Amino acid sequence: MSYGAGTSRAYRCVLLALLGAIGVVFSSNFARAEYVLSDYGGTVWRKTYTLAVNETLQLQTVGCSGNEDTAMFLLEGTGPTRKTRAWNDDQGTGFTEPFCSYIVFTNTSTATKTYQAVATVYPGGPGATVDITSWRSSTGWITESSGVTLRGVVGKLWASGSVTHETVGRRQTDSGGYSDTVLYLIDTNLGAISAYDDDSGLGPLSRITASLPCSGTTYNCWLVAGHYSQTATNYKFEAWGRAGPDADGDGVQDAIEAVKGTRADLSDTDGDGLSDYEEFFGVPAASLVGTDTSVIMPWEDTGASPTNQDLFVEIDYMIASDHDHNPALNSNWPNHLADLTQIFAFDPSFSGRTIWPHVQVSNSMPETAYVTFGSCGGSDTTNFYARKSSAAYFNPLRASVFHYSIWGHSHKHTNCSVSNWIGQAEIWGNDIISALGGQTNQVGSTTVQRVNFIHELGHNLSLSHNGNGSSSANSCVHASVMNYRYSNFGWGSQLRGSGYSNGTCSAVAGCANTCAANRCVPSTQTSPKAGCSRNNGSCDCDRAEWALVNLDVPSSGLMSFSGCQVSNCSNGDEVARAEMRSFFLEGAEASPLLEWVAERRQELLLERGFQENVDFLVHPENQRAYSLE
Amino acid sequence: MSSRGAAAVALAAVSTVACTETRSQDRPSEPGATFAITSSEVNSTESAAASCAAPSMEGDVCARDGRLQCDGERPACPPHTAAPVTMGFVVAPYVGSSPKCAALPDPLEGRGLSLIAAVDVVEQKVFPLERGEQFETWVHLTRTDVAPKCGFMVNFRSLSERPRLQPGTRLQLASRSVQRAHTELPGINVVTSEAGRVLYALVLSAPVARFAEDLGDLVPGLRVTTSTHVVCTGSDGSRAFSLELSTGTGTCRVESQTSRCCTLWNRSYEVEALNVSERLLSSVPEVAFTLRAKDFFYRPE
Repeated sequence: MSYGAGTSRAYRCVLLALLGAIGVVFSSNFARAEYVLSDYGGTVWRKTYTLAVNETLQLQTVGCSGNEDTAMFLLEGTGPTRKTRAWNDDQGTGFTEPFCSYIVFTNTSTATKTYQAVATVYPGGPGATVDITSWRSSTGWITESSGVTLRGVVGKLWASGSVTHETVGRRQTDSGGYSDTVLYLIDTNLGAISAYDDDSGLGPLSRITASLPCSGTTYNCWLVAGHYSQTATNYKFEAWGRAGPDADGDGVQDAIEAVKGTRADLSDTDGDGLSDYEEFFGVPAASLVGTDTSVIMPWEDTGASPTNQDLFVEIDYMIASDHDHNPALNSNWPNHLADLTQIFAFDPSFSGRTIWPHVQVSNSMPETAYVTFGSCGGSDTTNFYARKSSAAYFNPLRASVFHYSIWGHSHKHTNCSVSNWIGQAEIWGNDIISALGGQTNQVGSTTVQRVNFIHELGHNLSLSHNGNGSSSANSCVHASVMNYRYSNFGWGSQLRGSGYSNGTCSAVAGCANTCAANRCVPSTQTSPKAGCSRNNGSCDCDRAEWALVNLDVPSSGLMSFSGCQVSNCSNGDEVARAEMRSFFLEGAEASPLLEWVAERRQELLLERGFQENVDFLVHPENQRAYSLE
Repeated sequence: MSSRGAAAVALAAVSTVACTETRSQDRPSEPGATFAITSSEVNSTESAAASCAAPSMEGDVCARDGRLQCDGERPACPPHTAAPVTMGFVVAPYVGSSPKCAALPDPLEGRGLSLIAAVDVVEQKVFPLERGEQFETWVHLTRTDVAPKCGFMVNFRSLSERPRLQPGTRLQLASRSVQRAHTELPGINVVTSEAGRVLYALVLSAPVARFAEDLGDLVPGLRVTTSTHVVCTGSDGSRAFSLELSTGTGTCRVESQTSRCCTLWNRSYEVEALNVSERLLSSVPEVAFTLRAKDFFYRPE
């Protein structure tokens, strides 16, 4: 039997939670509040008891205060489904510590049974440091745990009728690694089925999919989450219920979107091509291969944000006998990353956008003399695409999210002739070759490494040279790393001197900030493209170029449309999405897919004003090398 | 005549296509043999009938003799081979007695890297590739044109050859890349003897029109042009031509993706035209080639 908690008391706890919660979500209209809880948490206290027939167990938390509002449950069994045998939220007004919890339960069945007790705390505070005591006739009152800090989270589910609740623990740790969670979905109707999970989620995280009769009037369903280790304190995670209205169909219900700051009417709130769901939980494999729903790309630890545009890059690098192309070996690598962040954060042309670059230096590979976009044969040449298709180097589940770059030694053209080029990238694509073997120390100087990479990344983002691609036209008007005038050393030594745009002509000697259509007066140097205009008090000739920036990583490593992913395309090119998806679902050969994608991308580049054989190339064989260098 | 040379003649005998031969030359094929410059070296303007088939790339350069020009057809270009030797400058692995250089000039910056140095140590290394192996010759040198003197290493990499260098040898070394534009990043590596003889040069991605301006000072007197005759078509549709080199009288003509002997600066050089083509995005032909003083490299056993 339970020492039942009154509904009014539980309701008060709800209000407390609302006031203090980091993210607890309850609808202002309780008639239909179907989301459960969100908070950071750590420890839930758990202990298994075996009770003989007619044996009684009493459990209680001791030392609660207003900020240490505990809840306690006793479940019969230890498997994935259990029966609720007792629970308590608040002891009630007759107790000196009304926010503590107290259970008294007797095994009235005809057999010895095993039970698991669970104690946790309402979210919103630093946790509850309490004692937990128990009483059995064989032991008397004993202290089970002294001074345990409960940081588990708990919340209540509301739903109209029987629905399926999926709960997902999300790792969000300051120290790296996954938080090993446990998760309970508890129906507080005594004798009802409850659910438990340890590791069904991503990695050691938890997920429960269960159909429980969670009533919208009695608030009988509770979600309890905590860390598996009862001594862990540094890990953080969130536990969500994912049932209820989802207006934009992105897999994140409206109530969660409200508290997380994402839009309930837009599947990709920040417009970076990754749906809100993907940014919270990763990319389901289903979006890549059509049927496999068992794998989720574990990428949330990279810091994706659904409200800031994320730009992911994986860099693999070659190692030779006497040098190493790993950019992270460069002591200035952290500064490079900081620069890149600064570039995206403060470039005036990015006004109104927040772009977070995430660059991961990942795998090494033996060096070959050359790298090329294609197959050239010979043991001295690495086929970029072959390497990328090897899961040992690039997780295919990353393909729709990450740009991929190989930092190798020297470069070959797609016709397999050797070249002196130090980089090549797909334009409006996701593949980058860096080849600085002929440069300083066979890896390139600090500056060249940084500038060359940013230049090539710009191509991936659909930037061209903006007319500054010939020796006779490279203009000081464009203070941009995309301008070949500045493509190796940047346009200034100051911070962001390797950026895409300074937003002004004044960074470059001879250029001022009075605008004419295609130049910054009084300089006589003109922009190859018209479109100079005043921007924050300066003349900026790059704005038109920046309007084309596209952060959307091509789906499945190929392409996507208007911010539309294969898996989720609520605001993009639905027709194209459907066509592309059909390739996966029908198990089409790769070559027709590539050909179709190539044709589609070619059309879009032309629509955007790019000139074939001037701004981009179409490789006649593999169709993939839409490249500028 | 070596056996390889004999095979080439036999192949020519069965050819049924009328061709213009460029020329033929033998050289010792024994590993490590000293390459004598013989009086039989002639200019490329001589011609004779031979085969249109792409020659084997297995033989020594002077025995390979360049592909033959085919009249009235434009075959597909044969597969490109890697540059026979590349070289890289690096400080960290230096093992000589001088203090390591703090840094070397950046080949991309200004007029690039150019220095004078003396060989301290020569290390012969072999590194396995996925298929085959790569010969590396680590040449540790002391830079003598700066004060204080400092050490660095030059790595000669090849699938087949090594430079013939001894401690104490003094060299001039240069490397330059000139970023001009979208399709223009010409580069050159040059090894010159103390007396000024070009021992080795690797030229890559160099538009012919600006070769002299961008790179020419490192190979003084070398004039680079290309033929107008299209010898083959690349896999991307680009047209390939012949490389034409001259240091005075006579022109050495080497078709794209072939090799042959040429007389330059009155000495014999192995010339490999790695690529001589008009790329799709370029309005001028671009060349990539190597010059190797005939006695400077040898085939390791």
